Amino acid sequence: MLNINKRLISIVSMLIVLTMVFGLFTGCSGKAPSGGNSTNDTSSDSGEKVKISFTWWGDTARNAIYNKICDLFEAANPNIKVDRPFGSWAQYWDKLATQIASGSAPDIIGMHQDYVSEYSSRKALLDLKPYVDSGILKTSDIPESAYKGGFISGKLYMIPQGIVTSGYLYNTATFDKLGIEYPKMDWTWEEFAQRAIEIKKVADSKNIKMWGSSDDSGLLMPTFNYWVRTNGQVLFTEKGKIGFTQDVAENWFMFWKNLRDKDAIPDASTNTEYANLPIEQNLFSTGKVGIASLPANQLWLYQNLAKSGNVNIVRIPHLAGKANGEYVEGSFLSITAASKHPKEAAKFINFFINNTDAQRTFKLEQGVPATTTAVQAVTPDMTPVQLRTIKFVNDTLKIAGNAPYAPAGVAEIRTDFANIASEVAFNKITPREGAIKFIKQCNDVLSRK
Amino acid sequence: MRNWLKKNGAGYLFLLPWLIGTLIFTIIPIFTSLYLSFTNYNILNPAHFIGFQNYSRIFIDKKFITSLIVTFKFVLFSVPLQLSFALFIAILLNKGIAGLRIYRAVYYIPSLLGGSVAISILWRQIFNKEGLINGLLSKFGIKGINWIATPSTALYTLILLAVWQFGSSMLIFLSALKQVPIELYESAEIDGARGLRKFASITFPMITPIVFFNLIMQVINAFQSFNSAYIISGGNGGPLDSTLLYSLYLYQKGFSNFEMGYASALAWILLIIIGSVIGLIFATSKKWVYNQDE
Repeated sequence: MLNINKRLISIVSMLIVLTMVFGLFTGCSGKAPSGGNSTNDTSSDSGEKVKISFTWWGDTARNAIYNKICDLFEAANPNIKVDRPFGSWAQYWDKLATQIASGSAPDIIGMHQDYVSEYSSRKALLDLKPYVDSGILKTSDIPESAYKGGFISGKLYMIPQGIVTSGYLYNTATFDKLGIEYPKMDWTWEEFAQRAIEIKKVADSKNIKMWGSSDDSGLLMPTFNYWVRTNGQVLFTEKGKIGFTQDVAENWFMFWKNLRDKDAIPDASTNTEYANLPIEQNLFSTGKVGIASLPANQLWLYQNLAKSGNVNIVRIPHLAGKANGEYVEGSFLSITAASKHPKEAAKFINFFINNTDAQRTFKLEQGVPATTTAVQAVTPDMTPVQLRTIKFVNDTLKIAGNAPYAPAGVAEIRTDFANIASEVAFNKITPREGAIKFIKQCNDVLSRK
Repeated sequence: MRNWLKKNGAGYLFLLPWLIGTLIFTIIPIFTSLYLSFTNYNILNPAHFIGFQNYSRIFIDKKFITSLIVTFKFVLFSVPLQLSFALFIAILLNKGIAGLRIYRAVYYIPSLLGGSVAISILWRQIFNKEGLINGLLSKFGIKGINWIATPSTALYTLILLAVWQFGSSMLIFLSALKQVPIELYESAEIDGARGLRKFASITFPMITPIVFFNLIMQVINAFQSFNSAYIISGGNGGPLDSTLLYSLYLYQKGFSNFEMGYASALAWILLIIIGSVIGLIFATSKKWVYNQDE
C-alpha cells in the first residue's frame, strides 16, 4: 500500500518536474527579443517574406501616425512585414543602446542629431550612400543643406524625415487678458527680459499667479546653443571639442539669474517640480508662464491644449547687433549596422520620405517634411496652426546655419549642464563658478570618449 | 554514483528549474559584470581590458562621493525608523485587538505597493507645493514648501516612503512576539514590572534574533534602493543631486552615458560596501543578540 503510494508520488513528481523544465526552455526560446530579427524569416507559402523592424520615440499621437505609414508600406510591399516597437524619448535611448549591444536592434531607427555621434562613432550605423547611388533611396528632392546634415565624417548615416527650428511660444488670449503687446518675431535677449519682467508685474497687479517665461537656463540644446551662436561662437567644434568661452557661459547663467532674482521666471524648486511632466501638465499648458520655448513641430499640441486664443511662435532672441542663433534641427532615419535586411530597410526609408500617401499621413509630425515634393503634397491639408508652423520654419531656415553635431558623450554633457544650471538656480554656486565647472566637466567627458 | 543518484536524484531534479534560472540570470551575469568592470565596455563596441582604470577613476569621482553620502544618509535614517515603526505597530497588534487579521492585512498593503511606480508618482503629488501635505499645513496657517523639489528636504520624502513600507518587518515581528513565553511576563508582573520595564527586560531581548534578521534584510534592501528615487527625481537624482542614490548613479553611468564598464565597477564597490556593513553588524551581534541555545 505504502509502496504503491510512494511509486505513484515519484512518477507524478517526475512528470511535474519534466513539464516545468520543458516549460522553462520553451519559455526562454519563445521569448525572442521584441523588434529583433533573429530568425531567418522564410514563411512557407510566399517563399520570400522578409521581416524588418522600425522603432521611433514619441507619444500616442505619433504612434498612430507611424503605424499607419507602416501599414501603407506593407500594402505597397506585400512581401515585407514591418515590426514596430516604440518608446518615449527618455526610454528610447536607454533601450536602443542595450538592443544594439545584444544584437537585437531594429533595422530602422529614429535618429536625432544630438545622438548620432554617440552611435556613428561606435560603428553602430550603416553608411547609406551605396543605397542612394544604386537608386533604392531617392534623395534628389531633399534640399542640399538638409541632405548634408546626414553626413558625419564623410559617411551618410541618416536621412532627414523632418526639418525644424525652435522658438518661443505664447498664447494670444493670455496676453490679451493682461493687456500686453505680443512678442515680436524678431527680438533681442534684452527685449525678452523686459517682456518677461513686464508679464510678471502686470499679472501680479491683476492677482494672476504667473511668471513671465519658462526658465531655460538648463537647456544645452537648442537654447544655450543659440546664445553661443549669437555670440559668434560654436557649442562644439567639428573636431568634437568645446567651441565657446567661459565668459559666454557665465553671461548666460547671469542672464537667467537676473530674471530669477526679479521673480520673472519660476524659482528653482518650482522649476524642478515641473521639469519632467508631460506637456499637458507643464508650466505653459497650466498657464503658469507667459512664454516658453519649444521645437516648432509641437506647436499644434499646445494649440490643442489651449482653452482659448491662438498659440503663436516667435524666434529665439539674439543679442542686439550680433549674429543670429538659428541652426537647422531635425529628425532623421538611420539603419543599424547589424541589420540583416538593409536593402528592404532602405526601401522603407525611401517610401517614408518620398511616398505621397506616407507624407500626407506624416504631415508635420517631426518637423516640416524634408522633401520639397512632400511639402507641396501636405500643404492643402493643413490647419491654421500647422500653416503657422510651416511659415515659421521656412522663415527661420532662411537665416539658419548648420551647427556642427554634438560629439559622443553629449548625453552626459547635457545632464551636467542641466545640473549646473540647477545649482546656480538654487544659489549654490555663482554664474562664474557654474561656467568654470561646466567647461571643466565638458573637457573631462570629451577627453574620455 | 548510482547510489548517490538514487538517494539525491529526485531532489536535484526538483531543484533543476531553479538551478538553471539562477545560473543563467544570476551567477553568470555576476561574473560577467566582474570581468566587465576591468574593461572599457560602452555597450555598443566590444570590451577591451583596461586593468584597474575604472576603479582608480571611482575614487576621484566627486559624484561617487556625493551618491555615497546620500545613500548612507538614506540607510541610516530609513532602516532604524522603519524597524522601530514596524515593531511599534506589531506590539499594538499583539495586544489582541478585535479584527486583528484585517489590520494585519491593511498594514501590509503599503509593502506590496510601496516599490511600485504608481506609489512613487502619488508621493510626488502628496509632497508637491499644492499637494496634500501643504494642504494640511495651510489649515494651521503654515505656508508649505515644495518638499520634493527642495534640496534639503527631497531625500526625507524618500526616507518617509521607505518607512511607510514597514509591513513585511512588522509581520515578522508579530510572529516573533507571539513566541515570547507568557510565563516570563507573569513572573515579571508578580515582581511588579510595568509596561516599559517589561518591554526592555523581556520582550526586546527575546526577539533580538528577529530584530537582527530584519536589520540585515532591510540594510541590504536600503542600499540597493532605486525605484522611488528614479521616479520622484525624474531619473536625475535631483534637485542638486540630493536624491542621487548609489543605484541611480550606477544606472545613469551605465545606461545614459554608455559607460557599462565603469558602472560594473561601481556595482562591485557597492557589493563590497554592503558586505562590510553587514560584516560589522554581524560582529556587533554577539553583544546584543540573545541566543537561547547559549
